[in-house]
Amino acid sequence: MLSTHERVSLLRANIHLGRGPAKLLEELAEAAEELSFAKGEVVFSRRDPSIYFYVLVNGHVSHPEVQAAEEQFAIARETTAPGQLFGWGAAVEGMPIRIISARCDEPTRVLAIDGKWFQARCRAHGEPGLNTLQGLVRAFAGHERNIVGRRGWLSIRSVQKVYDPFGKSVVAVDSCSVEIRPGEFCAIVGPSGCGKSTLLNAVAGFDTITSGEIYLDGQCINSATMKAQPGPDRIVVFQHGALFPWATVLENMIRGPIVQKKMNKHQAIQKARELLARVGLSKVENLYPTDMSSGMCRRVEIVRALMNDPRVILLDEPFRGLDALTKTVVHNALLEIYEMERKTILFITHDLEEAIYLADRVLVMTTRPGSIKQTIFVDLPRPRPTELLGQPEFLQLKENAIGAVHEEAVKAFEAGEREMA
Amino acid sequence: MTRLWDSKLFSLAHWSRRLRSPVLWQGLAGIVTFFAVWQIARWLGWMAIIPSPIELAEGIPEEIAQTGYWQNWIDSSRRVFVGFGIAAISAIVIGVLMGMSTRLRAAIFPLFEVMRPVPPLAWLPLAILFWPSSEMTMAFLTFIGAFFPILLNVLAGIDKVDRRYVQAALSLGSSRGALFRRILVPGALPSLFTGLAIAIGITWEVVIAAEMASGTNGLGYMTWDSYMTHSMIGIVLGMLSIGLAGMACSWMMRWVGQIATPWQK
Repeated sequence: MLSTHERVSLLRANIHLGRGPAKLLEELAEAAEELSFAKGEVVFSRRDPSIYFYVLVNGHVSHPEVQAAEEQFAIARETTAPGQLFGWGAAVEGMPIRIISARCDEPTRVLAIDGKWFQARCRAHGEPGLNTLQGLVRAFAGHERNIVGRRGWLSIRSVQKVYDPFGKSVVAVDSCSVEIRPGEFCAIVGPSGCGKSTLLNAVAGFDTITSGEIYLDGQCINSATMKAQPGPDRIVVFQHGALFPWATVLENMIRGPIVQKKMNKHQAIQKARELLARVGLSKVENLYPTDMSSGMCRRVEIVRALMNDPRVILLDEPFRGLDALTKTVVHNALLEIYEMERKTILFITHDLEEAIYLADRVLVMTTRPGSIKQTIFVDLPRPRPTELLGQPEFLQLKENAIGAVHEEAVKAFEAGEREMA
Repeated sequence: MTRLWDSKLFSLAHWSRRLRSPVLWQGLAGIVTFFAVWQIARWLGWMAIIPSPIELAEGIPEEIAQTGYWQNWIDSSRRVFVGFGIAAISAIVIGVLMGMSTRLRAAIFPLFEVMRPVPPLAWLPLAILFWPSSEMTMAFLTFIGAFFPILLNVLAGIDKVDRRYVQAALSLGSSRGALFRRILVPGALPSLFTGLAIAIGITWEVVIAAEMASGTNGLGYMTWDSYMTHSMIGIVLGMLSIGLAGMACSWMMRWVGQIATPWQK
């Protein structure tokens, strides 16, 4: 049994936790559970619920799956140094199950810490605690990028946007931090006017921010001191659609790669036809957008985004104003397209059901100033058929989510009333 | 130019559909009724000063056969197209510049706002004194008539281009040049053609008035000259010719517009 002091120095040896506030480390040290494993024993397997993350005291832990190429997210192959973290998906939002297993190659001693509890403690410690948590999440996402080479890691770090139109400043978004891992489908839900579109515009590079930074794959794309530029690595699908009405579907599709000089016209047409065929839209290639239904237009627009091979696709309430029946069709089309390439998706909506059906993780944003108040993890398996909408596990999840969000909504509503009064 | 040959003008199916559509026959019925009422009114002894349609039908071929009738068409059309053409080119260039630069727009717009309400014919005295020939005077007046409607519509067209398209284009990686060519130009095109169609109508109005006031030939002069020589048939023929010319020009403008903006329904 280690003393609290020994535990603290062990935690301090860790590069991510070590920089955290001393109080936090002491709490962790006291709460940590010391576990011993024999040689060959399994700490956790794939698909186990991820509850604890571990700090190695001594021994040798290996992760047999890490070399396997099909893994979506990867971390180091083995854990050998005292103080090193493993199984830290548990400390990261949006990782409800283990994606790799951990096996002991030698008799091993570890400290186990509850991931959810850890997150809550970090938040309780204010700014320094949050920094520790964000650093951990970032390192996790960075790992994924560096080891597997996946692109599309979007990192929104304490972003603030203050509009100052007539001297009366309006805080649209405040201290908003989100980490979206490569290939993740992340939805932001919130009432109208809560600043979610502001956030998306900042990511897209259409709008400046007043403090904070936004990184894409470790590269700063927007900050308070720079003038953001939109680019083809972040394609936006707009609320009312922005297919150019003066160009046919095919012309719309080939526009991007040609102006970026990525392809010549012939190649672009070939790729466009290929993509359209894969989503069953070959017949419309010579139509103008005004000749198509709005549902069809939205599908074409999402496929147009794929033409540019973006790292992130930003969807700004793309299905608003579609009727319910069309919506289900377009939802399925979007899921199908997502399955095709697994691009990182940031999806903005005010429809909670839609968000749960589509996303891996739903972030709830509240009004004035907009910031992320809650996270709902959607651990429904993919592919998700339409029938899922009526199944008990979906309904249960939806009910829980509505319950959780309702409370925030009432608070926001009352705050709004006070503001008006 | 495959588009031209594919266009409705050369499609047999299109014309046979046109012939079968009630709209065409209703239109013809309207015209026939008009002339019938006119003829009956004359038989009843009303409007004795105006020749009846039958008299017109008898007299017009004679008038047309006179030397100079078709020359009048050519003269008037030339003035219309010279004035209109210069107005279109300069209004598009200035409009686009104003649309692209807010500074230029702020500088020029107030000046244009003062000049715009002045009717083209109010420029006539000044134009007669300023331009050395009456030909130039008339071309200048048509230019004034056509310039402002085109300019205003170009500006409106550029303003109307949805921000989303600009953002989408930027997000797809468009350069400034591509943004102009691929977004602003096609986006403003429908509005430009609205302006051109309005402008060509105004040009005919202006050229006729200008010819009556200071011309020595052209359809407007012909009409005025018929009045001076008490030729009732000449007056009506002049009016009919002007109407037909204006209609043909508007129709042509719309047709060019349809070809240039095939996405517009």
